Amino acid sequence: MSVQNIKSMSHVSPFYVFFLVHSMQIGVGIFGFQRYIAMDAGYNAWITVILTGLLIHILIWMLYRILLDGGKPRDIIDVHRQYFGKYIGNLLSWAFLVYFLFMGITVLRTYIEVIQIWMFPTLITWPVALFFILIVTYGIFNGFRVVTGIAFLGVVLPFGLILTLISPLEFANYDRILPVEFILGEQTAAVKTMTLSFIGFESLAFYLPFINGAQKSQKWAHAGHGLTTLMYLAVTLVTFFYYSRLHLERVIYPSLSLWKVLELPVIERFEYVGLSMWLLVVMPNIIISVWVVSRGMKKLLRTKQRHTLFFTAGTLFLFTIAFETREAIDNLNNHVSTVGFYIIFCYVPALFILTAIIRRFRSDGKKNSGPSV
Amino acid sequence: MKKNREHSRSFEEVLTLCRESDDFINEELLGKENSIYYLSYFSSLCDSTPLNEFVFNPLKKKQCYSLEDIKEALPLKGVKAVSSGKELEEGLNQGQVLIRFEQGEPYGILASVRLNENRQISIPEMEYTVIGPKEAFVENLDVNLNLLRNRLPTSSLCVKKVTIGTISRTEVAVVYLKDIANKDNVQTMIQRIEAIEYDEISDTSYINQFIEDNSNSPFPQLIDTERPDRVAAQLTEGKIAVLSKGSPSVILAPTTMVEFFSAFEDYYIPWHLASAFRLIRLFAVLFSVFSTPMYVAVLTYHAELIPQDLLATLIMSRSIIPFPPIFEAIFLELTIELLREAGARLPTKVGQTIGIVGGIVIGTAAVEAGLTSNVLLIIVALAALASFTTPIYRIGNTIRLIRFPFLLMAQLWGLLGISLLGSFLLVHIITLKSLGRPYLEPVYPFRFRDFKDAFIRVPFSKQYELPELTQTAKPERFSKKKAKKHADIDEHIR
Amino acid sequence: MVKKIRVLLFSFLSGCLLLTGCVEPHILDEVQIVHATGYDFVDEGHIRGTISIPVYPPDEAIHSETLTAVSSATREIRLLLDAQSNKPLHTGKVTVVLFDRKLAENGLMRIIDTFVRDPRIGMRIQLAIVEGSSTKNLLETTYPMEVDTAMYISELIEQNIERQNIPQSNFHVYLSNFYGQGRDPFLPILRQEGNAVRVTGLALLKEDRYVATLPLKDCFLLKILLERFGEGSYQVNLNQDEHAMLRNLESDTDWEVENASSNPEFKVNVSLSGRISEYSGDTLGDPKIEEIRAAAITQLEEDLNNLIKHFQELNVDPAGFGDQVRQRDPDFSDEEWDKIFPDVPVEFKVNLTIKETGIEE
Repeated sequence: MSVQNIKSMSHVSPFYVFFLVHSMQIGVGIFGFQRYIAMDAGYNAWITVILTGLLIHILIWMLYRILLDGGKPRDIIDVHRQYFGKYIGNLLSWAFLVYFLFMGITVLRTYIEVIQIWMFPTLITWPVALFFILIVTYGIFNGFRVVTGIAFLGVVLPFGLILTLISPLEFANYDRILPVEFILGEQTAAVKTMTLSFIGFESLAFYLPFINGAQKSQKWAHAGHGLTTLMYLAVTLVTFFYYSRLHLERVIYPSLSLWKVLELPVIERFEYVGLSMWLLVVMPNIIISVWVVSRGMKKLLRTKQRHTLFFTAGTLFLFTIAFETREAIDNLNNHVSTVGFYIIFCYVPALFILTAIIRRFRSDGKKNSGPSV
Repeated sequence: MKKNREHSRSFEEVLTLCRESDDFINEELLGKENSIYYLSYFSSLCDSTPLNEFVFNPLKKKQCYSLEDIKEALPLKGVKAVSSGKELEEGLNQGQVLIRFEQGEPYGILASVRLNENRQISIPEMEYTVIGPKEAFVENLDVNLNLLRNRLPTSSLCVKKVTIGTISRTEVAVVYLKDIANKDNVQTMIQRIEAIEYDEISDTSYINQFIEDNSNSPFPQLIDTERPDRVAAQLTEGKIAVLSKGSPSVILAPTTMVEFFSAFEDYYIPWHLASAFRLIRLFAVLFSVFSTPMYVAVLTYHAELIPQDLLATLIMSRSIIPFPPIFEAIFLELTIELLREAGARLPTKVGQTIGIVGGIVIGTAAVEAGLTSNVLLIIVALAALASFTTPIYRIGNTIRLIRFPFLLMAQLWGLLGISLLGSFLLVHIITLKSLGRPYLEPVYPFRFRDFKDAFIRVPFSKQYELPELTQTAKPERFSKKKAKKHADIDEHIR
Repeated sequence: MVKKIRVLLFSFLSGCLLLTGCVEPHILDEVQIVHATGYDFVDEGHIRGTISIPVYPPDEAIHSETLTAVSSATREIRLLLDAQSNKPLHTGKVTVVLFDRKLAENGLMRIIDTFVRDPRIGMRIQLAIVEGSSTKNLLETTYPMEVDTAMYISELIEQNIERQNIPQSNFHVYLSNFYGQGRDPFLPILRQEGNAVRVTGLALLKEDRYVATLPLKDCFLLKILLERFGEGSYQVNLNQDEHAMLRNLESDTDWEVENASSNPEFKVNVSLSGRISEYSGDTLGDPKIEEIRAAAITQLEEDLNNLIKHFQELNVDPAGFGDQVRQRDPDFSDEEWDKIFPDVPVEFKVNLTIKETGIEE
């Protein structure tokens, strides 16, 4: 059950942590996050994006310290077992798995909902969800290497979509972000909102043992998160230049509405193409969270991952089709986001401090007990 | 069990079995001083001229007392004594003649007078290039190996022969360069070939399907080529070639998906032109796969997407057509497939005529009759044309085939359907391997070094490294020159 | 056995997928693609909606047909229009939405709201106000310039934006001006004249209600205040019968606002560079050019002052003076601005560079 058991065939090089982190952060949240942060901090919210980005760099650093403690990379399940004992530790790990499962459900269901609003009002949820989950299952069935591949291609292939941010600038009013102010109260609220767009990187806690030379991967994790921050910043700024503030508050998916103004010689309305291509961005989100859940269950239940994979996929499917109304999906989003916020902003630092203290305590103990032995 | 029984036939049993065939000849030959030799052979396998010249004549002229004498008397190489049934069966079936003193003796001499009926080495037909060598492999293994040895006159060119097929006893040669090819690759290849269990192996295509990493995939995972120059060049990159008796195509492994779109002519023209053509070819493939499904998706679900100026053209071309776009598209795609099948099955000249007549007549008639729109006709024809630009025939088939599921998905969920199936294929391609090496390399896993000869081809002078894909035993083709001195304008370096 | 079940399950699932998965198609030639819609004021509480649909008869030329319905709500108009059409109406390719001037006086937002909510509507569609006739008449007329009426109108407006005096305008610009703090929206005005449609100027709106018309000549002034690279023409009068035509190439407006948070005072520096495209006199030498330049500056400053006075009298702010205050005052509010705008002192300073005078002296 320990780290050495993972065959080197499924290991990937540290470079791919960049894509694993980045692809997991960007998903469906990017469609509408600007609206929410603008509601909290007005058009100064672009500062929030940078601020939150920096804060999360610290959290990534903490996460690495927790996981790399003792030299060998471990996953969060091992850490929980070590510090909290078998029962409480496993219970905490289970909580994590449930969180990741719901993260997958949220992303999938929200994406399908956006499709239903923008492209096909008559689309039935379950066939699309089923097809989607079949792809995900097929990918995971072939190992972590494939999961990483999807994360990699899910970043590289749709990367050209960033160019679509140029077109709205035709109607940009660069003065809209004036006056620039920094009001702490506003920013704190907005940081909380913005964090929700960055969650997902904590899946690191599960796949780190699958990285060749996990120590070297930390810079890639930071870089991946850095790219995410840049992307969010670019999207935020373009949105703010393009919409007036009161207008933005009325648009549910500002990023999608940005595409409405893009006109290419052969494609007059880009949002349909963009939304379909976004599937490639959403895929890594779901595939990584399902992988995390199936892998975690395998470790906790000591069974085969193919069994837990089918179970996870089935659960994902059932939950996805269970949420039907706009309100239910909204609630789902809110709950998962809140839990995510507490996990990364409260649990991770708490665990970090705890491990640091215990480590200090133990190393002191060793020093003290050293001469007596 | 079966195999063992076959091999344990006795000398006499073999001969009895052979006598049942009418082309098996048993002759008595009178030699000098009334000595008699009994000769047995398949007349269909033996060449009569050497039989007369090198077997009959010497035996007639000389008196032999022992098998050793016969061996010496025959001016042929590879004459050997035989006493086991297994050896005899193999020998007779390879065009050797059995010489004995007495009928019924369970031993004799085998002399090879094999009749070699061969096609001449001709111009490559599937992978024709305007520039470059014009020879292609033929059905004879020795000739093919000869072509390779001529191109790579080095003792490190290693040929390992394996015999497979319980009935056909097909000789398969695994060829590689010993100091370049990765040992594991060679080992895997030989193991996989040895593991083949089948009775008759007609062509390397059979082997291909047996040794592919995933035989359920529509994507070919091993390249087969008929060009000796391609094989020679790929061998120097550390790949492994598999030749088989009776097959004019050679398997190359490991390979990547991108390689299926590189014509060998790319190496014969300047690098920038080659790169441009390669990119055009890749674009053609994407166009070929996605154009018709896109047409169906956009016309069925996403009319908003169509530019205002194009709208009138599209509506007018469709206004009298009674079918939805999906039927129209499938109808035309199937027509094109039919034409291709018919063209491929018929003799060359008739095939060409069918292509032209079918294309023009059926296409025009279908548009005039109001069964299809002329816009779609253009798209489908272009897509078909684009699918034929692939240099390796096998991948062209794949491209034409995967269009149909894409069409169905486009009808089902429009653009979303296309991207759903697209990501499924993407996942599938990531899982694929060629001889255990990643198929989508150099894209994933991302290997910058191998990009030098993937989507574009950089100049030869920059390709001093061997590809990472094959994990070659030595890393470089040639050592990179130490920092070249750059002369300034109007200065010469002496 | 397991395999058999798996195969059965798989075919069952894919069968289900094909049967139930299909979404409602909108095949291009089986829908009526609406290219333009117009809304007219009938009486308090009733609106007349007109749509223009291109018809593609197999062996004839394309032409536009119109359908009309009267009702109290836009949704119901849609219902009544659908009732008249042989194929379902498809609104995804609407390029022009027209409003009767009377309707505009009563507020546009309740109609525009349906367009805002519809994901099928693009953001580059043109909105315009029709004066002199009803939108129904305008859409019903066939124009010799272009077979498709909607195309004619949208291209007409776009041409006037790109090359002539009308500032940038479309659905998005309208919305962002409407919602924008310290800004009021404007829309092009169309008038039908025989076999042609003419852009007569801009309709100035307060919130979503029509207030006044800005003549085409003055639209140039608004355009140089709003845009940096806007093209447009401006006539400079030297004498009674001597005038020159100035074509703008580039303008840069520099806003200086003093006391933004209490009593804003504006100093607006407008830098223009253009060319003389037409001159009614004989020769155009260097002294003459200098004379034209001086005259143009005086005239521009005077016109700009008049324009802002006009705006202040009407209390509409299409040029975004309020927006300039908002940029400097975090506590800006629209209500406050409405009160002080009529009395805000504004000073214009124009700087003009004449780059060329054509290919002949």
